Amino acid sequence: MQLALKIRDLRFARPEGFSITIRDFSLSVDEQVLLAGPSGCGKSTLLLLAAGLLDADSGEIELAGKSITDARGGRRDAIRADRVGMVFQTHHLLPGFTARENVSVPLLFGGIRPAEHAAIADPLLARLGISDPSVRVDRLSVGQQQRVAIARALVGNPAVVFADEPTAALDPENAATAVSLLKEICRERNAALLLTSHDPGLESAFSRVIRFDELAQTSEVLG
Amino acid sequence: MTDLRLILKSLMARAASTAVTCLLIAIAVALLLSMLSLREAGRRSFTRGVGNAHLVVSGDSSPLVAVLNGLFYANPPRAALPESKVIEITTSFPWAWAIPTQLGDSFRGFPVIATTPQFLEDFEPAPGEPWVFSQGRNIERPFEVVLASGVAAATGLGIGDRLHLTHGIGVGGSPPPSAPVTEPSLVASVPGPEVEDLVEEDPADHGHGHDHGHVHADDGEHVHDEVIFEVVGVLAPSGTHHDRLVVTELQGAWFIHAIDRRELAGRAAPGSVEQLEEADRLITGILLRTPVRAGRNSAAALQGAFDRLRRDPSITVASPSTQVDRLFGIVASLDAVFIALGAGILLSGVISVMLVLWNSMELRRRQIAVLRVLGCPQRRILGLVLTESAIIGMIGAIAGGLLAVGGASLAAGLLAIRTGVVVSPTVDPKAAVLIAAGTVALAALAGVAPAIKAYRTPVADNLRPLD
Repeated sequence: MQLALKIRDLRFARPEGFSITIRDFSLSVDEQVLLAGPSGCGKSTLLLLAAGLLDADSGEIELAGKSITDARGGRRDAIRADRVGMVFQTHHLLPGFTARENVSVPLLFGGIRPAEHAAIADPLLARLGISDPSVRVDRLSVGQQQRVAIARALVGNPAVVFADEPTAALDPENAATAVSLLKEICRERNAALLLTSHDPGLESAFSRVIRFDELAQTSEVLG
Repeated sequence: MTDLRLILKSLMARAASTAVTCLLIAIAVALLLSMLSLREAGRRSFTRGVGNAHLVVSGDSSPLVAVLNGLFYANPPRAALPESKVIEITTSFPWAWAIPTQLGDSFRGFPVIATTPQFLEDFEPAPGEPWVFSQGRNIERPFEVVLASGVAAATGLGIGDRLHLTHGIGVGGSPPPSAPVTEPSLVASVPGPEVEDLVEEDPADHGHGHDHGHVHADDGEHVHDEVIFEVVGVLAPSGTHHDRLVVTELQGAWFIHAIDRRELAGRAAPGSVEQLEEADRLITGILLRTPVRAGRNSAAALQGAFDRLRRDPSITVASPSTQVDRLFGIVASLDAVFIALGAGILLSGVISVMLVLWNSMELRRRQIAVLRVLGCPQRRILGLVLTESAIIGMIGAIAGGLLAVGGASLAAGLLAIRTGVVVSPTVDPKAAVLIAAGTVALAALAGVAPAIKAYRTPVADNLRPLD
């Protein structure tokens, strides 16, 4: 079975004392996993480590067969651009830009010609219910903004999508819609999904739910 | 989406600080370009404005002053030359032409040159470009005037209009009480007009205290309202400071000053130009040209003539082109000060680019972190900030260039109005490209520190949820 994410003997410690240790974790390309745990337990840190945005002290992380822990600098950025899509609790869209432009940013860094951006971004936005891709993101509702963020995470056809509490800022209706769309499109695009949440209400939407404290040993819970 | 779009949006998001920074750079670039442009244009204009005169002779204290007074009409010459000296000089050498001039009067702030008709025939206001009459004819008799184009345009006077001259060279501006007269012309009585025909009663004028022992002092002004002059010709523009001249016949100018002089001495005023005495026949300068071969503007004999005249201690002889070079040599250090000032402003503009970008990095940490998450390599972040900085420099340089063209034209216009020095400012393309490229490079350099700050932005720390 092809793996989207493989973590082995990972150890990461912050200077202030918090540390995470994960012996072994893997996620296959067709899997959708909910990583559940209370706020501040280290779920976000794990996702940042997995995306190569934090440096592990030891261990190995592979993204679709490529080690991101061995890669440095531009090569690591290239692996991330090619294989990872990220959705955050806050949408983190670029203000002042249109929905299309926001979705096109990963294409730009992925080396896709600007002339092709609209043809790739617009159908995906439409699929997520954003009918006008030329609308500025600051004019969209919070739910719509999160859907643009989902489109941005998936536009580069990543091997895995890391969604860090993507529903925390949404009302229950929008939250359900966002999770549902995220799952659907990940499946359509053959992307694995690792979604973190402290909301027990989401557990029913996932066939595989992992509790963070069962996955990782932490020396101290973040405040 | 393109890198450029990312940069431009970022600039537009901080429109006010971007505009102020660009403006600072634009002002510096404009100042530098204007200085260079006006310096060159000024030099060209002065060099051109000496016309085809090879030498200027006057009673001034120095050759530079002789040229500034005699050819650029800066001030009335302090001392006059008697007619005998003029005859001696003009006959001492086979000049191509020798034109006596008397300066010291003005009309509405425009300098009046009293001379012979030869001034409008042989003297060329710019080398190779003789005077052209747009209307009327040359001066032929006393009390006739020809207006240069600038005077005609400014005063609205034309052929047949009459005017009084003012003693002293004014600074321009409001018309003195010697505005054109409406009385019937008395010019018909010349040559040899009778005193009672020419002199107008003006008891207020009798008490003036000007020292007419000197030909022309540059202190106060007074109106020669005893005699009316008539416009007989208007000149076409020459594109030089000579376009501010009022040209009149020498004997008429001698006549009005003779009236003043004799009145002061308690003597009867002269009845006609034929009654002028040698003491009245004073001139303030001579324009000289040595014979030259066709197509050339200098003669081998010039140096010899110059050296011979220079041995006469009672006169000052000057080569206009040499004196213009000297003048620009003197003001060169002032140019350097202005250029240093422009460079200083440019430097402060560049520093402000750095500060603005540095501060904006604080506000853009989250955006930079998001770009990194989306696959933007660190070195590309570095490039984006450096390009942004260079674009500010480029916008500033372009705006500065436009400002320089407008500013230099404005300065040239003001210079023409105030001093009569006509300059055509043109920005040297080589200097413009050099300054623009330097500005862009400096601005890019100013972006290095902010770019490094952006390069080092920690990603994970800046992706915390917004409140």
